[in-house]
Amino acid sequence: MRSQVRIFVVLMTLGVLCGIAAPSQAATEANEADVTYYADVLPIIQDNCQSCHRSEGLNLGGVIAPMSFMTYEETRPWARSIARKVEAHEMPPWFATEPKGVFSNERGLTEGEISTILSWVDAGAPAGDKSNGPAPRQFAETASGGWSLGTPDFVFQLDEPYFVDDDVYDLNISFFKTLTEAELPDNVWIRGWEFKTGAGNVAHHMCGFVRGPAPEGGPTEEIAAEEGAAGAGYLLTCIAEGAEAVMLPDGYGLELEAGSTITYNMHYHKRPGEGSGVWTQPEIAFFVEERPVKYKVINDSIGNTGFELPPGISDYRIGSGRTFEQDTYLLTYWPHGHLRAKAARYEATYPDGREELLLDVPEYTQGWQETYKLKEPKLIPKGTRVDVSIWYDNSTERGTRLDFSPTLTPGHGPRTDDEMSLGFIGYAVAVDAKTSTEGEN
Amino acid sequence: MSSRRAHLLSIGLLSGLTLIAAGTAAAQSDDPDGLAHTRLTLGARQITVVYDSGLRADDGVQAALLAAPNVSADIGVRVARLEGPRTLRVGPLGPEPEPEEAPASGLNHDLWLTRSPTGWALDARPVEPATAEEASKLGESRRIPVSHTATDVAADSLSVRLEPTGDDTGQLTLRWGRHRWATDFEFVELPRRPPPERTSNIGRPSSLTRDSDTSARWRGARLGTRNETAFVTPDGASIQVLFQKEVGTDHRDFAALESTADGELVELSGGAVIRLRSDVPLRFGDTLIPTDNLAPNFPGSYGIWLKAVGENWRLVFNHEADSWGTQHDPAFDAAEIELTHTHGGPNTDRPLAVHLVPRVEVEGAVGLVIHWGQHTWEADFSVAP
Repeated sequence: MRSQVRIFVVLMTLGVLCGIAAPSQAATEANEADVTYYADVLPIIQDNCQSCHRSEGLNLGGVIAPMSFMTYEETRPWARSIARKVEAHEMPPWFATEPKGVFSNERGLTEGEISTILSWVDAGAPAGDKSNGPAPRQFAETASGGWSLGTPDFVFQLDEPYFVDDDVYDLNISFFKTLTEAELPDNVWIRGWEFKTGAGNVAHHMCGFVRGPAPEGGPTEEIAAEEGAAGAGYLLTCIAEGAEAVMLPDGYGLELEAGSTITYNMHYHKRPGEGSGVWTQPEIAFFVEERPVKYKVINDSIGNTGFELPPGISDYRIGSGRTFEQDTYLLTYWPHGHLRAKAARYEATYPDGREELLLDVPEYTQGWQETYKLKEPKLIPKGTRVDVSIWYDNSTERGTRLDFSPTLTPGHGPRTDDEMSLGFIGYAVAVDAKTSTEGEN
Repeated sequence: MSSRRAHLLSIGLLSGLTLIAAGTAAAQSDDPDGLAHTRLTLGARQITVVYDSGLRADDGVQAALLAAPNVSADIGVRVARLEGPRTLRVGPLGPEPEPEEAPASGLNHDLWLTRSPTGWALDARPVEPATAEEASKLGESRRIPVSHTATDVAADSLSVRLEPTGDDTGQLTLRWGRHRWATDFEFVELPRRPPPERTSNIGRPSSLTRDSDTSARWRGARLGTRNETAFVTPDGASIQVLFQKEVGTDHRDFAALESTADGELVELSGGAVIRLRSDVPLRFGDTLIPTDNLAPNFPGSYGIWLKAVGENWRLVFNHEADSWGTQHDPAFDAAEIELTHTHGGPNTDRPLAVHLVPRVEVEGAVGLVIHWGQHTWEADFSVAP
């Protein structure tokens, strides 16, 4: 998964070295002399780039943004690379081609914005008059201890740091924290949560689970599967490169019971070697919903764990599906595969037979795993089925490019060299409704 | 003949406990061992029966055993080996239906087809050790009652099948000569062990390198959600069918099955498509189902779909072996064959299941049998030369 990130970096660097940004027709039509960084480009960069491209990026220690664009001096050296990336619609990153306009976190530049950047680069990337530029963008985490959603109501940090040893290549491990009465005296509804891996750039993913307090007389310390998700309670969410914090719509909440145990399921992946070890101390911040909650949120996955990916094959679909047994409001989609995953699609089939494309990601990359957040919760009536397809490329060409063995026939497994076919989905049902659904996971 | 085959050919008079042959237990693997392996996995619990499919009914003592009108003393032939986890209960073997304690170990027993003055049985003995001294320490055999049926068609060679009858239950059937013997088996829920008290907030780590062999994990994940029926030929070729577990007759998909329109395929919204995987090319009548359909030197892998055609049914083989049961794409169809369909029988609520049945009528033929409720679909195949 790191290799994808590295490829982004390498491509961007190559773009600079080669100076390959050719002027487009649109650019030549613009008045290049009038375009400056402060007056024209900075507003675009503030709105579309700086949330990641800063010295302390939002996600996983900033691994997703290897350079800062906070100042002209930081931005200017990357001008041609920026031009090339925006012209190719590779930056800002957004991988869903359909549907458009329904996701709150949809990124992308208008053709006018792209034209402005190209004109600026073709004009030599001038700074212009600083007084014509907007005020520096203020980020919420500046005043909230580094949390992008603002100041959380409480933060649970693993009690002690854990050292990921030098010789670790691929490590899955879970940490547990049972909330004391002092930490959480009463049940609460949660409307937002945010993770920090506390592990620099060696965290492949972090999944958070919450397991309610044990029933009276039952075991108090049982964790069915200490190294993974199964049996560890309900999923809060998982983050990987590209994932973002979650803030639910008004009226929606996720229940956190007093006495619950939080599982921090961590997947570390790095090149082993002397000095490569890192200390880690994951944290989860919660934002409490004080207003009445009408809809209970469930984060789950629609998955297929029974597959066998043939060797050398360049286009192979693995499917999964689930039928929802009650009226359900869809909130988020997050397709998840590993190195061989290349495309993903979510489709709904309604009880009347009508079909709808919920999400189409024709070019999936493990290096940037987007959670697609619906602007408005999407109602699917009882009996609607959601099918998830993820396509895989286990070819020699991709294996060479992404550093995996195409002669393997991987099945479902946690290691980066294994594969997964999971369609994470966040949804909500009325608080008084049953929450049972059916499907493989 | 391999030593393992010889091992299963031993025969003895049980009353005198005369062991004529001894050997070591065959490993549970698909390495060629000259023996047939039939396996059924329900809810990630696997029962395996290993037997010599070349054991003729008309040879020597076997013929005497099978043809004698009656016997005055117990006489038996060792015919197979039974392997299973601690949850497996077969007759008196294994845990009680609602055990208070889990057995210390699973089953690994030789099965002796035994005829006594009172009828037929399968005597199960722990797999014998290599030496006579160790043999003298063997525990007593346990007698598994069997139902016996005389058949019109003679089976020249021994065959064994494992047929799922429920989410946790199945039937073990032997065919040999003009006989059929059957006994039920069950996977029992064992009492849960109290969890160890956790003394650390750090879980059990799983540290892997890129060279780690994680194939057992892959299989574990596979069998976490699917059941599997499998047959391994004496030369080690494996034919496996994965099917979604716990898709019962109360499932919406079963209701949809009953109203499948002409030309339509049966969809499984609650599970992946039934998956066939074969190390060897198979021939269903005139239709060849080859290996290498997805990759060179890779087992044939197909999603198989039931299709209604008028009053009849057909089976569609599709190259998308890992699609969901609602995602049939006709562009990937590979072949289509006729199915024999029957409807009826006492078991009305049998969940969707598949098993493989050696056909005694035709040498080398195997039946692919799909059950669901009172529906049974069947097609015979053989290993293509």
